[in-house]
Amino acid sequence: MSRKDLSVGASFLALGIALVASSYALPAGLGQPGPGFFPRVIGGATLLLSLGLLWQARRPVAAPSTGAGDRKAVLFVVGLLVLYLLLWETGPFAVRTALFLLLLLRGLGQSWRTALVLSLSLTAAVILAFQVGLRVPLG
Amino acid sequence: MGADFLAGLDATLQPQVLGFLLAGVALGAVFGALPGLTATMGVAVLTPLTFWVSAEPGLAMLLGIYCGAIPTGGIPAILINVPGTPASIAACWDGYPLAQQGRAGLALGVNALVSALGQLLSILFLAVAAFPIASFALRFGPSEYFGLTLFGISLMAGVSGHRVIQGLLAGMLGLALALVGLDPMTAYPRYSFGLAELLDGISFVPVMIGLFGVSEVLVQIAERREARAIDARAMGGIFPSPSEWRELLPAGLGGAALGTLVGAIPAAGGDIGAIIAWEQTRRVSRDKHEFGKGSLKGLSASCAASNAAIGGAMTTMLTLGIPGDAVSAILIGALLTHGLQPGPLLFRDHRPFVFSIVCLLVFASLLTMVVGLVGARPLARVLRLPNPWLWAGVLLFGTVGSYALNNAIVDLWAMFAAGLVGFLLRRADVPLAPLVLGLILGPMMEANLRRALILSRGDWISILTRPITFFFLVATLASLLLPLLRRRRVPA
Repeated sequence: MSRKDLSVGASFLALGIALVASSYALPAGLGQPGPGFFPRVIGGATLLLSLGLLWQARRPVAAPSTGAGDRKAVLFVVGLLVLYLLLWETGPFAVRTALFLLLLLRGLGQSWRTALVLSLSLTAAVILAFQVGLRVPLG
Repeated sequence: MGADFLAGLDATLQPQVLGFLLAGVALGAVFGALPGLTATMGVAVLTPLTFWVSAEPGLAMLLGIYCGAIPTGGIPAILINVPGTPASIAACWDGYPLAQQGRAGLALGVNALVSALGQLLSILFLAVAAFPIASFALRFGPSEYFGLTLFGISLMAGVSGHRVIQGLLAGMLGLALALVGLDPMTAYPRYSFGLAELLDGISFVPVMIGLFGVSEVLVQIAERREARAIDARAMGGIFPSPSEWRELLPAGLGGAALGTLVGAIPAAGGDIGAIIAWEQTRRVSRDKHEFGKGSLKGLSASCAASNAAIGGAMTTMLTLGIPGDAVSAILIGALLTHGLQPGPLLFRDHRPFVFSIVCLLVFASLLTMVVGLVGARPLARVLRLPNPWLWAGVLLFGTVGSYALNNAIVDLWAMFAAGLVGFLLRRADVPLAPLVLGLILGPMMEANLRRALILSRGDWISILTRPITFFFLVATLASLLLPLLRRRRVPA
């Protein structure tokens, strides 16, 4: 049994059901397909394909799984990125960006010194490119 | 036509445009030479930088990155057996064995020269074929466009390799994402969840940055990819001898032809083109056993094909408005932001601009060749940069670039969500190219079908039996059924 295909199939099955169900809440077209027509078609096709994948996933898999990988490092980066985005409009851009990069690089195994130098350099580069060069207000 | 060409050339020769082109080629060379960065990622992450200038310099930079990154992707493929971009996968097969034999310099030289040959020949194809294709496409009405986009979407199956159902599901996700925003015919809001920012639909560029930038970084972190040491032994001479030219030139020309054709197929890019060209060249060669052991023919065919896919992809993108590969999908987004709709009307209303694109591609190819020949050794040194440095740069420029498009926080979350979804899909071996096809072609297909139905007063038969539409329907059926039949014949 392929766990990957099983989880992909189940997720897309949920998407297909949601699309078909929600399409009926959209207004019907007057003699022509309305706004709900395409969501219904796409949802229906997604449903059928996901059922096909789930059917296929029950077969035994010959290839070994690629493994979970470095889950902790991914969760750390995703968590830090979420925090950076949540605090996007809080405080000066330069400070929060340099801090984000410092923690990111340190968490990815760089020394404090390297992380500090690189975070300050990258922050300066992005400010130069976007705020000074392109006049994008970054806060 | 002549006046339009001169106007296009004049626009290209402006100092600002040439400056942006040079910057693009330099950036592209770095993006290509670093295994953690790809051409698609480079174009996606740096596209927002081009929205503050006019179309020509903006596109000059993006085309420079595109043309610069694909050949330099061959440098790490040759030196450390790690492709710099997916298009240079096949370059590893003969390039690395050549480097192990102490002929790294020759392999790098062949990579630079034959890549330029592939790019220039495919640009020639673009210049010759694009106008007739576009003028033919001008006859298309909504029903023909519906047939064409349906065919484009059906190619999702073909570009999904042996994971056809997974690829089709990714395509469905792209089509579903394209539903967000106002209905194209009635302007009724769909799936915007009451957010005014989503009424215009999901911003394409942040989604691309997420899919190809953020998700790639997360995949590399998950797989703990480390930078590899470079063998700094003497590389040997760069230029092939006349007898070596005789060996590699026919393979390069064949590779360029195959690469252009594969590139012109929607969503099939240089990676597929190079693999097909390498395999076909091996099949017709007398010295088959040399392939994979340092064959100049193998390296030449794969390098020419991966680069020739650029001209093929650009032809499809410019003439029909359909992406030839992931990079040209992002270029469509960039052109739309500049108020230019790729497709046959571009050839009728903006001829000098089309010629300007052709000139930009030619200059970019020549510049890249020089960079490949002169800069191979310095670029080899760039390979020593630790991966975390690159990841931090990509995440930062991707995030700020996504925000800078509209100064909208919703774009940041679109990038983040696309990055996370892209990461999960890639970890589950679901191909991403069909998702991009669905996202781009979905709105075109829906709007054209519904327009056609209004024009035909709801008569489906009259739409589907129009000759060009019917042709595309048959092609659609073939493209959906062929991969399934192939799977039955070749058990997984």
